[in-house]
Amino acid sequence: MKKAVKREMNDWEKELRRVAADLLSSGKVAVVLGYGRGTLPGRARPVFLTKAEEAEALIYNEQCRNNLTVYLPRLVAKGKVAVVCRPDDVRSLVGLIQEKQIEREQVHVIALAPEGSPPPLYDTLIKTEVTLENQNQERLEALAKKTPEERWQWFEGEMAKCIRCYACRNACPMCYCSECFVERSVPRWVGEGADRSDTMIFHIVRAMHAAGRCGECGACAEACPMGVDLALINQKINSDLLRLFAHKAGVDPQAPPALATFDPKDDNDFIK
Amino acid sequence: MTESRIVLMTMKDRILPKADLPRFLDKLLEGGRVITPVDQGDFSLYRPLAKGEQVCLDYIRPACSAKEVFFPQNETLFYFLERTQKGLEHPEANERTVVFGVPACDLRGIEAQDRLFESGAFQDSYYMKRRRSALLIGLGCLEPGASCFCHYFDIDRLAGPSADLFFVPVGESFYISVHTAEGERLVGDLPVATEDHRAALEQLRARPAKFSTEKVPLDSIVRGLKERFEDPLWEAVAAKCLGCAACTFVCPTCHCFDITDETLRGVGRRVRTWDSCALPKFTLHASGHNPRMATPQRMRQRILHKFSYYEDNQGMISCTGCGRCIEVCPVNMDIREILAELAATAVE
Amino acid sequence: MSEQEFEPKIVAFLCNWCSYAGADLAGISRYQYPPNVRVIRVPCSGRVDPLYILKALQNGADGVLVSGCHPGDCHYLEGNYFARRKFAVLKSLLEFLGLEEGRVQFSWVSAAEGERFSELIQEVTESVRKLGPASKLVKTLNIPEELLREAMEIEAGLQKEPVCSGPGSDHS
Repeated sequence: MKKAVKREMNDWEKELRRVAADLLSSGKVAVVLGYGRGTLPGRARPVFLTKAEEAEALIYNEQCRNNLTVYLPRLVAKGKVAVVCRPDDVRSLVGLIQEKQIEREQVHVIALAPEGSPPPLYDTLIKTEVTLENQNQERLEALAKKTPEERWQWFEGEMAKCIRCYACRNACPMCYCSECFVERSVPRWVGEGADRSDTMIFHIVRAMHAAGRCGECGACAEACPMGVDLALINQKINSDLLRLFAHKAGVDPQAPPALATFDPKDDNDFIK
Repeated sequence: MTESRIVLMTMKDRILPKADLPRFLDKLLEGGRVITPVDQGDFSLYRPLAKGEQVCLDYIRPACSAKEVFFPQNETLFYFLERTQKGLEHPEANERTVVFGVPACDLRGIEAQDRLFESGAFQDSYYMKRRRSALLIGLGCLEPGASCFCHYFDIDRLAGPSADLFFVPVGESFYISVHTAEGERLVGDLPVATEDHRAALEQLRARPAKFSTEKVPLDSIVRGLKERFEDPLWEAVAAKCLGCAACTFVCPTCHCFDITDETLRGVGRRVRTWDSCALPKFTLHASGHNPRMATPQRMRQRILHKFSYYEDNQGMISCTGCGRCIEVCPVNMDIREILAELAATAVE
Repeated sequence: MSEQEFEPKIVAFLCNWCSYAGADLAGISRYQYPPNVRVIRVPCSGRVDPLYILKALQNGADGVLVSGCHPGDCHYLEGNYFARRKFAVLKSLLEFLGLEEGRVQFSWVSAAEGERFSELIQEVTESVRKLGPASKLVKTLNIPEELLREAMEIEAGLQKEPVCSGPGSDHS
């Protein structure tokens, strides 16, 4: 491998490595789930650390594009897991706890967040200058202003890129079903391959399955090898949930997912 | 596939000034379909070129491999009537296709697929029909990309003997090596390459290539691979794998497929679609038992298939070092690391 | 111009306890309504998975109706409340993606509302007729003409056998 370019270590990475090493050496956790340098320029990737000395490998910067909570249901079986979370990743973690895929006591949450915006849940909070902002809301509003035909052109164009590799689904912590609806063959709900209509059904239904549970971490869009604009589909649903039901997934550990509850006074206008 | 793979020594190499490339492709379009890397924004993909459209050679290679030209992701094998079991093939028109801009790694990938689909007792007529009506024009890579490791497999980035023509960018022109009679017909009116041109090409070839990783001794890996079936390293190596199919779909050599029938109201079609050993349903038995229960077993399968079974069955390793799997993997699994690990722990 | 008028195919998911009973009442009371609707009886509107609505569209339905009990009257107490949230999200998403407004519609119809059911189906049929044949989510198998013709002949031959007619019978 090429020699890594030496750079200034920043405060939050120093603290992160200290915390991780401490957790491992004290035996408080069996595994630290964090980000390390990837094998390609500009790539960070998940690392599983089991020894305190390995903590030096931990990094945290704008290249950290995975939601590491996706590994939790698998890993907590081996012992307590410390997981490095970006702000929106904690929202999926809250969801996993609510849906009983992991127990609160099985994880030590190392949350990294900018000053003044603590996540809903954490065990260690490290302030960082790294911002992982996106323009999804603005892009959603711009798209909403277009005509239905224009939006259909956009949707069709995005779906034409999809090769049905399911990287989006597998990168999503909320997609943990042991059998996904696309894998069922009796009945076969969705055909294999990249038929245009089947691909649309896959993405619409997956978005509906994530509705009220999606924490907007962006892992799906980042995972997609073809650059399909997945974030906007989920962003639309999330924006509706906020507008219609004042719901935001994963920010209140006590609040159930939006579609798992109801209010007798929910909007009824669209029903004849 | 070409009628003759014997390189005729009398065929002359040619030169095409880079500025004349659009005109050259336009002329090819008159004779049929031309498939080239086409810009998609952040990457290119092999797509049919439209008249006047620009080919995109900005990227080291298209994001997906050339296999989709001969082995498409969705292919209708035939149509049928359920009640009478009557079948009907609707073969696509046999249009002459030229695939332009194929890097050496993808040429090797096509070779791997040729061995599978065209040789032996079972010949895939769908693949062969597309393949036989196609001409391949390769394109040399001046610099390897960050994920490239074709040097592991003795692939010469600047030569493509299995292609009909091979273009190498030299200065302001392409040096065109002509390998087949069909290829020669496409470039017969271009200026012949001179000694000076050949010297410039040799100078280019003499330049050392800077790959990100060093070649590993594949022989030692391949020899002992089957014995490592129960090796605990697969658990560690596949720990981060998410189990999606991205690597298999962009891979030039991966060839697994599924066949399903799709019917509606008494009529239907039988389709072949890409499948992936990385997906859970791949080895799911009707009984519910799955011999490859989790990602470690599937990663093991992937490596053994590419570096051991394919060597046994088809006489070559089915990896071309193109590096696409490394680039698309959402968690940056790196097959080079796996190979290095295997080599480092190989038992002689 | 004597074009045959476009007859939309409408799939209606009706909850067993209210809307389906309402449809039954319409039939018994001889309230006429267009035969374009194909009814699928479900135990509760909450049972209707968005996937089913999409599959109906994919398989060629020009319009999909889901109808359940009025809020507060659900036989299973809360099913229609959950359904209401799900459908609000689905409808908004589909329209955002560009599906024509009116392809997917929702209603509450009680077991006593026979006349209302027939009026609803008339309304839904006309509104979907105006939208024209659905195409956006339809999956086409690209079957060659000659096979399609043969299939239709076979189907016509089969249809010569006696069948019961009336609401819910399934012939196009």
